Amino acid sequence: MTVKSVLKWILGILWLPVYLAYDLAVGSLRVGWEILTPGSQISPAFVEVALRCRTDFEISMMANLVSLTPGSLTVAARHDPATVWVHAMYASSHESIVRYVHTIEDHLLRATRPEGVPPRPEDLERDEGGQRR
Amino acid sequence: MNTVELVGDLLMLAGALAFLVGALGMMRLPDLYSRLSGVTISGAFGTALILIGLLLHQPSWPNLLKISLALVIQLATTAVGGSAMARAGYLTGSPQAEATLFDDLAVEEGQELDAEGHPGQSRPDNGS
Repeated sequence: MTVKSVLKWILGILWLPVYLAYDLAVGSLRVGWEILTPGSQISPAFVEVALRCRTDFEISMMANLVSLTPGSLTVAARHDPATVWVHAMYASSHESIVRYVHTIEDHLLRATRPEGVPPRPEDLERDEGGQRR
Repeated sequence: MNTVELVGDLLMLAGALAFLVGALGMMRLPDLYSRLSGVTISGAFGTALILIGLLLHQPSWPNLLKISLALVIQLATTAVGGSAMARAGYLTGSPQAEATLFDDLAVEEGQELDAEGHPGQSRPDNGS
């Protein structure tokens, strides 16, 4: 472990609450706007997302962080292989939700892993419409 | 009244409005899962704004510690409660909004539900 990676780790720990506050505010305003304006633009979906998290702490943090943001909600979680099922209110496509959850995961892993964040897995099992091949 | 207190007042007012929006969302949104998302506006965003407003009214180091602790615990419990309710709702078959695009859990459920059970029910301690 180099000095640089430790510094990045500390930065990751400090950055996580800032990112969460931003995410919470943006999600609240979006859902709040949806509630206050007439009509319905929501397109909800249940999305299965494979995670890079490994430990119990990482998976439960991940499930909680997703639930914390208005507009997305963890419905189920699995330990091995690590997976969460997310209910998202604005699912324009399968891809967009997977990308959103992986962004949160990036920020989380930057704070929990001193050795750095593994790259995102390609979601090869899906086609454009989000169906299994 | 100084500027800091005024900002505190505004934050608390915004927090109260967030609670109102969350309450309206309970009626406006189409299904259980969206409503739970709406409740998060009150439980997480509204509470956070009110607590920060409170801190600006009485700023001191002990208060910062207490309010940070209250905020962390509140956010954690809101998230855990929301997940638990969503899962209970799903497992008992709460109806989904008609606009729902796809449901990855249902695909899983259509397959065998023998030893493993529902994917949401697996636990770290039951082997597999």
